[in-house]
Amino acid sequence: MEIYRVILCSYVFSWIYILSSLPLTLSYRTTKVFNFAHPVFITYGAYVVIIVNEALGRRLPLATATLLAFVVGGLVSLINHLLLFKPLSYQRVSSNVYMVASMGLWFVYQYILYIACQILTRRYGANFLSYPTIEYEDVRFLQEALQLSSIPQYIITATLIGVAVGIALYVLFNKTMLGIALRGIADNATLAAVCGIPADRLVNLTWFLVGGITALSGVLWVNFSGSTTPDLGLNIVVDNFAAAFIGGLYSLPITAVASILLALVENMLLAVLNYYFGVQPTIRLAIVFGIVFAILIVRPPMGAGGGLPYRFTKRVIKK
Amino acid sequence: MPTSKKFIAFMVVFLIIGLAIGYGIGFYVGGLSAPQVGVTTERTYTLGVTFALSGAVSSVCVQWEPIVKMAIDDLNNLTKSMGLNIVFKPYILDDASTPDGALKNVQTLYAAGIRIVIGPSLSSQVKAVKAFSDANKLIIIAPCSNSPALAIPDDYIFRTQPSALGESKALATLAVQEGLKSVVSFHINDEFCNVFAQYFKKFFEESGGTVLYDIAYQPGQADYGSDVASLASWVSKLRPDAIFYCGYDTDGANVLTHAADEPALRGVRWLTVEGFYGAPEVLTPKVVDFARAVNMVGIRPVPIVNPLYDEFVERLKKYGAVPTLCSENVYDAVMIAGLAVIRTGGTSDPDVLRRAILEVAKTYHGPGGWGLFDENGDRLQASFRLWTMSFVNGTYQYVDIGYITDSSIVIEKTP
Repeated sequence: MEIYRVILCSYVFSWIYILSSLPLTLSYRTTKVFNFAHPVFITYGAYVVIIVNEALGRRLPLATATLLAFVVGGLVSLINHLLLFKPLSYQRVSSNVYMVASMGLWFVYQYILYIACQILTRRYGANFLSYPTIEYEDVRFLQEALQLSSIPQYIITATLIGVAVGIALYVLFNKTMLGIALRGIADNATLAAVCGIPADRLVNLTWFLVGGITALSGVLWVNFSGSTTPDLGLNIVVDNFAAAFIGGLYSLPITAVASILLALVENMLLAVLNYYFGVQPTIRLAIVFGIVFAILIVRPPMGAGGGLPYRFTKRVIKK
Repeated sequence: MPTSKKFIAFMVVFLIIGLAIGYGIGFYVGGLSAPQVGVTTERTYTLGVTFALSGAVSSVCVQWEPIVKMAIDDLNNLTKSMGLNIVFKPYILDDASTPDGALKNVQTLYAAGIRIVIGPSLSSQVKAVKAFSDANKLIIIAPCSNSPALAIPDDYIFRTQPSALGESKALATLAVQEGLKSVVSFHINDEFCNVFAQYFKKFFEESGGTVLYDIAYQPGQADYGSDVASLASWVSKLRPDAIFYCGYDTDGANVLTHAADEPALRGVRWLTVEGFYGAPEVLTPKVVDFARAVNMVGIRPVPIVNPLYDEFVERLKKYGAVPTLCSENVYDAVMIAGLAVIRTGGTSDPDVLRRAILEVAKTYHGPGGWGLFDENGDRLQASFRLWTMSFVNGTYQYVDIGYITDSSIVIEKTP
């Protein structure tokens, strides 16, 4: 069995799921909005990179791609909040309304992107509807300088982006007042506001971070995959939501572990089942849902059901 | 009361005056627009179109939209030159590459009074619309579907792409001629590729070859890296002479990009079909180098020598399109539909139209060759071009390297 290739796929997918699922959990626990349009940020992040790559004559550095995707993803997310979620919150609508509104938002963004791709394809000749792999110039330079050319570029890109985001989030939530304030809003927004925390501004910041970080998984995606289409977000939405649900839509560490678990299951387990038992790879989604159901039954993450998150349930059990 | 009487009297007078004015205008205008001998009024005939303008196979299908416009222009020029009063118009809908989308579009077009639909693109979509087409006598002319499973007589579905039955046999014959004895089959899990793989296996094994293993991967995934890893595992284990691959543009680009990184997959020949032929995203330096390293050869059902095809490719440039998979069949589908409408004088009767399509196709020659349909409503054709990807004149291109007819296989260039 070609285990090396399977491990590489699992590694990259782990980072892609972590970068897209963590912000989903972060947005829900801070704002209590389950944003179905969340996968759009992945797609928009990827397409920012694609468009800039064409504009720069297919010589794009990772640093530029990361910065632009983060800013554009963050702004799209912030605009969503300011123009849709915030006005809805003033009307004190139920979570179902948010859900339906964000689904609608998803389709709107999806078709805006399709229209843009068709226009760009006709104008510039390159096929924006299905774009091939992008190699980053600065990463290539780094590979040559450090004699790492034998390692696929996407492994280096995934490691650089993933570790940087991981450290940044750890520092933000554990070492800064801003992070403590964000956690305060997540636990009890009213109490946080009473304590003088500017909840409105911090919610805006949260949405910006959510969009920005999710868009980075798009930056990684275009470096890894052989084809990027406007359906990118749609195609990984199941894994994305599954990881966040396993994390109870509350726990960032459990969401990260769930992302790794799903990536391993999808790649390693499927490869083993196919190689040793002749099971066709077409059962992928069934396996993902099987894992989700098993976890929900054996150890239900209560945050997902509107109940208490993990850390509180643990305390209750201890008592 | 007096006020009320006055009001009624006023209304009666107003009504009489209104009627008189209306009668006068009606007489005058009616007189002007009355049919006169020797003067014809223009009649618009709308052809429905459902293409995958978004979704999995959209990168090929968006190139078909200008082809429809070109064919419609040609039909309108023809009717004008003949002094006919029919003007053709397309009504194009996007089915998002899904069977459901195709069915909804076909229902919408039928509700709009349209009786001939060009499309859908994929065999799975044609399968989805078949029941509706049969029940409502809606004529479907599919330009790119060629699954042998849909070769059914006496229905209202025509296909300007020949059935893949002959194509799978031709590819199996090629494999045997190339000295390949064992093959691993790797294909997307859809109507066309499943059936093609099935027939390829049948014909290859009848000729003495063996299909060692068959792997189908699920369409609509974001990435196919792990499927390619599974393929590599099987190739390392079974050591086949070749891989038979069937996929389309988006998944094809993805699969081949990952395969190019896999040493186990670089050591065997690759045989493929027309699935991703013409897709620009496949033509990257990495994939083309890989195709050359594995001597990749593809097959596609196009007439060997056809000046009309070359002329069509040249004319396409004016419409801002490039020839892709089935582009010539799209043009032929619209032309055959239009010519049948002209032949019947613009009827909407589906049975009359169906008979007219069969008659028109007998004498029609277009960029896709002779239009003649077989008893299943599929285009009859027995010749195929062989193609690969290469670096020619400073650009990465799809290039024809040979052809297959009933009696011979000729490879003019080395893959």
